[in-house]
Amino acid sequence: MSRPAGTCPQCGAKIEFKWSGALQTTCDFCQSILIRGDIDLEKVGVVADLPANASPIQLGTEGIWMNKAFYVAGRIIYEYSLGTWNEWHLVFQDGTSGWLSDAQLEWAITFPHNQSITADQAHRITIGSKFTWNNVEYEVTSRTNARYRGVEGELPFQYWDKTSVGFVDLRTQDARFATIDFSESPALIFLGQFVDFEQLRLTNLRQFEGWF
Amino acid sequence: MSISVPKVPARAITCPNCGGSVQIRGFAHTLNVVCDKCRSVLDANSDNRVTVLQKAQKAQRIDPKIPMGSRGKFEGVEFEAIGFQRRGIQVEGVTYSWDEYLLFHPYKGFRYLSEYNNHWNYIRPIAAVPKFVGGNEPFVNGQKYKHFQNAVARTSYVVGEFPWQIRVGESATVDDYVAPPYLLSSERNNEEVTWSAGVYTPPKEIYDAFQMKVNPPAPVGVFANQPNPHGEPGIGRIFLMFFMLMTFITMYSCIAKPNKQVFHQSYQFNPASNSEPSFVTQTFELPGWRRAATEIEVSTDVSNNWAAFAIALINDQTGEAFDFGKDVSYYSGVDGGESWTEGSRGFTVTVPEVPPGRYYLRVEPDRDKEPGESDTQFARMVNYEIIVRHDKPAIAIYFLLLIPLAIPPLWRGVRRWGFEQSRWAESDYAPASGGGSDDDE
Repeated sequence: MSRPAGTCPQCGAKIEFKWSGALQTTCDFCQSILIRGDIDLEKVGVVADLPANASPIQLGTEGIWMNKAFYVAGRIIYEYSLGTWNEWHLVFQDGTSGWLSDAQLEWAITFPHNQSITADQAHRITIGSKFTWNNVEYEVTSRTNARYRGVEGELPFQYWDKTSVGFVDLRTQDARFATIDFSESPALIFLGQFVDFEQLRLTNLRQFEGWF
Repeated sequence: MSISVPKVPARAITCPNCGGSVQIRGFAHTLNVVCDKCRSVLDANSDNRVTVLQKAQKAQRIDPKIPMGSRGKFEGVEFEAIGFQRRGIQVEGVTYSWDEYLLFHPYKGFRYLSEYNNHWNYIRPIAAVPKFVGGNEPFVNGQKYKHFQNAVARTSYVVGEFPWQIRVGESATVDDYVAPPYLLSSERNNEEVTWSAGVYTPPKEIYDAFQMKVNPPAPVGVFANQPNPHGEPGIGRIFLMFFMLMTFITMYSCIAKPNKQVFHQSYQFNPASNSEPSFVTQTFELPGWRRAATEIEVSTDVSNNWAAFAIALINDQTGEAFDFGKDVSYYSGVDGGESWTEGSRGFTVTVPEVPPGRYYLRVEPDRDKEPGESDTQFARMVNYEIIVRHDKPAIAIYFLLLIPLAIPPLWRGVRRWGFEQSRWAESDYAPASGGGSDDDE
């Protein structure tokens, strides 16, 4: 598999994309946020100091989901009124990508869904609203306005300038999970499910003082 | 971006209010932490510059039963107690308070313990939304829960640290649903509803999990999801079904399946004869291996006549005898155009508890001449037959046996019912509070 490579326009470091689908990455050395103009890299910003984070996941963590191996290629950190949460960008062995959401150690895996909702539907969302995708009924359990707090590693889109995003989380009776992401119009929908930490058979985890 | 990073360090901050050192146990998850010395609520996440969110709590200092920082094993995983809050609800002007502990594991996340009057619950957040099938009875994983209470829970005291913003005085709407020993709870505000599932846990298990050396105090009263110690409702139901089945079988065998006939013989008796009227029958066998009821039936052809029988059932081997005497009399006629009858031509005697073995009957028919009776009338022949049946189910004995047998389940049922009354007396559905339910659904 060929790995696209370029040079950091800021510090000259060699930038190699581990995932060929990545549109954005961060320079490990100078923390510049770089986007691909294939394969000239353009600096569009600098990673602000990432907030202290206690997720056991880190870039390079590996795991298995539905018999497919994945590695953690990047992340977005969101900040909302009650704290932060991580969206870890997963790259699977077949080249597809998904997201591992880590909100106070509650884990959910989601994948982009090819449908959206209308502006009218979006307008009427309240706690308890119901949506059906792929014949599964999802119920709105939370609405959040989140501020984009930082990025790390490789991402499947250019995400550096989106500063405030509306999110709606939905759940089902069998622990499935969906997110409506209003960072784009029409809104993006991600479908997936809650998972137990052990289910993901993760390796390369962070370790914690006083624990392991 | 190195993969083998050093361990995420534990840290401590300095309380700007009292200068005390405040240890952070939940790493960067912790947003708010309470200074253990002055009990101020601090912002744990304001890099370097710690701010006081709420000045020292004025309430009398509370020290949680489970000390912050102690670790306890649940579901095979060791969690650390890092947070504590006392919360209360107001019911008819009275505040009922309970304690909640926040447990933490760096990979597994957060769990909770709740304690009210030494009733403990181990609680975990649940990802699924409960399914409501009409009314207020949610299902989770096929388990049906009954709504117990809707209330506004207000935080009155906090200790330790929390991965969310916490303040004394804050409140949330909580709903509890029960399916003992399970508890389903929801907490809601305008933006979010969260569900959690608890299981009633004996105090000893909680104390053992944290290796606390003291004996836990005994729980007071009945808690919402405390299992009923007087058995499952199913046990009483199974007993009742068994009881009814036994009764049915007994009835059926009485009606449809006659007792086994072991002896049948016809005789004649001449009251006027001078010969000795008493005689013994040939022997017959009462089969089986246990004592059983034996039925002796005598039927005669007396008509406007009577006779007396003295009968003894005698064991041929042991000589043990069961005696009884009975009269038969039967009269009929026509009076003013209406026919009438009086008395009976036969009788049946049941001798209970006869041991099996070889028996015979000694029979002594008797009839005295009545005053004014002619010799011909007196000499009328009495034809009669005797039938002996064995192994008749002793219905009376059966019921006598069943009654004491029925007492424990009935008693347990009464106690069970009493326990359920105590449980629901604490709910929104207490009969005494008569419409005091503040259901706002």
